[in-house]
Amino acid sequence: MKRDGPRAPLAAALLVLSLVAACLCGCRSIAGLSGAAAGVSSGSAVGPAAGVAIGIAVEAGVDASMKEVQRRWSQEDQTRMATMVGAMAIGESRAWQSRHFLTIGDEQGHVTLVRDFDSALARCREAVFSVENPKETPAGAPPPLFVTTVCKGTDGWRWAAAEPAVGRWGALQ
Amino acid sequence: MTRWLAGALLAACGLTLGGCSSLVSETASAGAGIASGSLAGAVTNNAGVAAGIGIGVQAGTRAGVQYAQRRIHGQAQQQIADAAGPLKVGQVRSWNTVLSVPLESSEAGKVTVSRVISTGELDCKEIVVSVERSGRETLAVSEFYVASICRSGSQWAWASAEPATPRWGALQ
Repeated sequence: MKRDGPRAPLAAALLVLSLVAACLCGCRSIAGLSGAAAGVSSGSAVGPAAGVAIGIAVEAGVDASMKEVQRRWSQEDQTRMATMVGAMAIGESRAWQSRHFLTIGDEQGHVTLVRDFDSALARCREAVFSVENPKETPAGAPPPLFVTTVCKGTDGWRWAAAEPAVGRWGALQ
Repeated sequence: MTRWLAGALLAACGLTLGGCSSLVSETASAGAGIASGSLAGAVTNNAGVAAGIGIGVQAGTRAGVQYAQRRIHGQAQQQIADAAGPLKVGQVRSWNTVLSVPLESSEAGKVTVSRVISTGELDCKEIVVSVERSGRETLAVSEFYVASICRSGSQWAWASAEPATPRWGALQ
């Protein structure tokens, strides 16, 4: 156990760092850092190859679960905004906000209904929303605007923007 | 070589995991990384070299899996675009995806054209797509999505652009 001495604090430091990173950059790097921490802490005890294996496995597990959590949050946010847009009249504007655990990825802004259209399959709406983040938008500058689409199914209004064409996925995957 | 390995892993995982693409990607690349890391550990005592080989193979496998996922999803998009292309506003047609590798669930539903975005040289349409079946399961509630298609030559293709980078969120 004695030879683990210098490694243990390093692993602990990496874990703390990964938690801090989670708050700073919205969970993006937590998987790699936890993998590294697990690899470093186990590598000294069970050998370098096993350390690499454990590090990679931990990274993959954390990465897949972080993505799952983020997807669930995004889905809740999207449904909340879609429901709001569904209840609005054309030209109407309302404030929207999303709040999460530990304020990770919190956002707010305004959403305006700009178009309501019927198709043979479903009734859909197009809305323009702003993201007002005082920390990211320079003072006095207008907030960035985005366009999205929502459609009404039997269980209410849902986010309906389809995925980009595969040729435009680029770094998204 | 890596691609074949990824393909074999994927075919095996895809059968059981269906649509859970990020898990397929993570499992396949982590599995390859661990296998090669352990293998490298057996032939070298140098931890750095073993880690390098393990992580290198992991990265290669991940790229192979993502390539396969793009190719399969491209097929699915193309099949919906093919069904929607000849439609006029208001016309409805059924679509279903037939995938060459079961990396994601085959799906079926209906598609209609809700708007002609532009005509002539730039021939584009806005389509509303319903998803009514995923794999063998009929969905309790139909899902609706709005996308764009454009014609290049005689072929219609999916034309929705990627979200703005500040909206990538959990996508990346």
